[in-house]
Amino acid sequence: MTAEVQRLIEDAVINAVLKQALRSGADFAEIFVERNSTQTLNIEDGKLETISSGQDLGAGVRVISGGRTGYALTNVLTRQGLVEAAAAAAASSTGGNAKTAADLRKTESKVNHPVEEDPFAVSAATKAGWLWAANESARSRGNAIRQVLVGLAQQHQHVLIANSEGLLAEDDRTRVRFVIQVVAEANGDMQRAFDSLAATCGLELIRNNPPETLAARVADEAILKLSSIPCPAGEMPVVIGSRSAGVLFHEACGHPCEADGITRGTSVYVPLMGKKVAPDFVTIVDDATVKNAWGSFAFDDEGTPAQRTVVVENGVLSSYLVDRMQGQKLGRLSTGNGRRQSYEHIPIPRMTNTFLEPREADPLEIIKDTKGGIWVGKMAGGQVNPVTGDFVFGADEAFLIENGELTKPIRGATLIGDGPTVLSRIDVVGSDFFMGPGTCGKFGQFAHAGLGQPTLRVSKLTVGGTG
Amino acid sequence: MSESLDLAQTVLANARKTEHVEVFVQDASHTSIDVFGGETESLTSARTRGVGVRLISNGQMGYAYTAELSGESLRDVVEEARHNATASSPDDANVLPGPSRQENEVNVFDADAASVPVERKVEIALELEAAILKGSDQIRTLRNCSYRDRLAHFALASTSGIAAAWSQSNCSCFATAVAGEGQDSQTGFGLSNARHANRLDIDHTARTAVARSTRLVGAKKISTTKLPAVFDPQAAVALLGVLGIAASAEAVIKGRSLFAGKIGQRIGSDIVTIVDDGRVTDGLRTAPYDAEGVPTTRTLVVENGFLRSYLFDSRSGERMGASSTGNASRPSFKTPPGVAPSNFVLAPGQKSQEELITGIDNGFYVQELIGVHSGVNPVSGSFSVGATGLMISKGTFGQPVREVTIASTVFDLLSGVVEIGSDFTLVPGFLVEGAYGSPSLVIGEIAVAGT
Repeated sequence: MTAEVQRLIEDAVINAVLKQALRSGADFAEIFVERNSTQTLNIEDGKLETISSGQDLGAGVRVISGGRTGYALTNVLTRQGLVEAAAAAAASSTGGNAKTAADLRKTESKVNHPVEEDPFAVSAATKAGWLWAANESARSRGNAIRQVLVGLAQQHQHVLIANSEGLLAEDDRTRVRFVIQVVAEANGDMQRAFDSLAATCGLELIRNNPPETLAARVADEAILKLSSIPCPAGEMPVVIGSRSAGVLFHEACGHPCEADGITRGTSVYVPLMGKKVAPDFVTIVDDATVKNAWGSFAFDDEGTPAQRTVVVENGVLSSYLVDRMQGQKLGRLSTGNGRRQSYEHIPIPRMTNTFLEPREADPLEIIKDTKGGIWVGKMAGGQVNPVTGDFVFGADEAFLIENGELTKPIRGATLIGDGPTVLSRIDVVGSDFFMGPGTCGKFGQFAHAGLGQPTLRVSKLTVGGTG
Repeated sequence: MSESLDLAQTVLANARKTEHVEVFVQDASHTSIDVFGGETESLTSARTRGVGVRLISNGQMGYAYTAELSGESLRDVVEEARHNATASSPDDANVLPGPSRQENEVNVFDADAASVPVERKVEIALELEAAILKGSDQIRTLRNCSYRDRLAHFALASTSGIAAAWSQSNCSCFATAVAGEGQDSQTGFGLSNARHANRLDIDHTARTAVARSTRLVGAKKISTTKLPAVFDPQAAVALLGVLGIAASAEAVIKGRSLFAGKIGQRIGSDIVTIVDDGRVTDGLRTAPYDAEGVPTTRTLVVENGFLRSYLFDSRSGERMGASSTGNASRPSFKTPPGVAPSNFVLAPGQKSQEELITGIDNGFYVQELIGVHSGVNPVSGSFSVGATGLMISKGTFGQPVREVTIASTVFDLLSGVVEIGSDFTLVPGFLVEGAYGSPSLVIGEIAVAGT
């Protein structure tokens, strides 16, 4: 198997599909074709259990008539199979005269995310060798290590998008992800540490960032957690380190800015466009053009070129994240945020790489300047209710701050609050920066998302803990 | 008999004599309808098919799948599984189950479900939206309102003699209502499941979503305290998801289960009984066979507070010297089978939820937990999660509460169960495989962190 690029379907077939889709007078028709190849390898419990690989191939036809979307999908990619899907998608469009699709014009991408080493051109044995090395590296960190899981997942996704406005775009997305999870145990107490390395690129990600280095660090983290004390509960200052990777802002600011919540009137940000939502030194950006980042692409899943969108500029809410459908409702252009998990899903507004921009403060000084509170090194993920803005995040790695110093590791820390309040309480932003990979779920669809931030401090946040 | 089984047999014919091969075929049609403002917002109709192949050669296992069902791809997929096996670790536990001689009468397919016209499905979603909007003056809008169905045909054929085909129909309607006053907005979720669209309970779904959203309007933080709590079924099932993962023998073997080494030990109060039942009539995950063709069963996991059994597939059973409990599971043909609960249920008690609440002078009704997937340590069982709910004052609902956290451990919580309701909710797992069911639970005391 290679990542060789072949046209998924011919122009003549695209034209036949769009013609069928517009037959009953719809305003807009689109076809999304996808070939997705994956391969995963996992070592757990000292065994490389199963190597799994395969190919998915399918297409979805979308027909928009007024505010109504019809969608039909198939994995029969013959002319007949696709035309039948088009007819099914158009079945709900209201009667009217057939419209004509514009002539197709191929759009070339201005950004690209280069792949140096095609993951599907390297043998499974070589990759297994990397995983075994990482497994050994983690296990060699101490007798307390009980379990190690290392995994490598690779994907090559080739998509073609064509629509009745004449758009024709293709995108090739190669993604590589390495994960490591370590369980350590002492005196019946078990602690777990986790990390991952992921990018929209080839195996150079692994060549340039040896997995055994990350594996050793995660193993050390798991061992350190064994000496952690229960986290104190209550309201306190929280310094959020850069490796927390912006999970908080993804949840608390990103999701409420997605345009579907705005058009439905369910987002806390509906009345706040152009208004102050954070201090002057807070700028939050969504940017799919960041080279090789986990949430990057050349075109979104509606064929809109990747772009950079400033969501909060110097504390002022400045843009929503918009796809075609919601853009039409809001009278705005798509910001290139129309994404879908696969051909089996309709596109919805989603974040790409979302990050809070760094400022001047020295991260070490931020800790020194904090009398008491906690420092969060890594987040375990979180959840937000986009209607209320209420969020909860688990802190995967955290320390107590006492008199400006990180003293003891703490366990079981949870951060809870609501998006607008936490943004307004950021009182200092550091000069460092880290962007990491995440998997974001919304309405049952998963998306690759980049998340980033500098070290920063929230002056007061509710911390849930057992201490 | 079955087109899918024929396809599975065709692919299986590519197996070599010394190989153990299993072919799984999935052929699913689904409808997905979202409505908003009295209009259809989107209507999706789909049919997807695919084949997954598990191949064991010299004790090494490989897996491959394809959604391309041409003759060439069907040969290639076996070859790819064969290639994938060569780099994996040999393991005596890599075995395929044999066929069962039992009669298998579980039927979870309503053939009529396929003939429901799409217009009727749209109506269901619109009726649900309308019922919610007129349910209370405090309802502002809906975050989502949907109808879904899925008619799936599965087939499994293996060199160890399994040739099984079965079908499943599932329909659901669900909505999230948004209620509010002034700046304050709150949400409430309602869901109904059935084998046939006409048996969905639209009114109950609407009433649930309306009640859950409106009673939270005006929610505030409370100060940090310890008090008795009532976990609503929707909150309790979130924690059952953690127990379901822990009950997997695969997790136990791999040292990432909080139940490891605890068979026969007390893990909860004596009124806690948990059953995994793959054959219960109205279960969301009920099926005659599991994902590797083994007949499903009913497994007593926790009996009167004592841990009795883990959940096994063939491989984990082989490793631990136990029989499969029919808990092999796969989200789709794209993944090899692993272990997951079917319908993982905490057995209901006698009292209605109202009676439970009446008995509490000062307590916290936990309506919703958020952040369970990131807030619970699945290895140690300690957790700190966000909660939304209501104060219980002198036996009735009082001040609504938001933005507080509950911290405890799974074992302390299970040991603290003092009463169990007769009400019951079964929902699909959130970010975990399986279906989870629970009544309301009264916990003697929990720690709530607020201001």
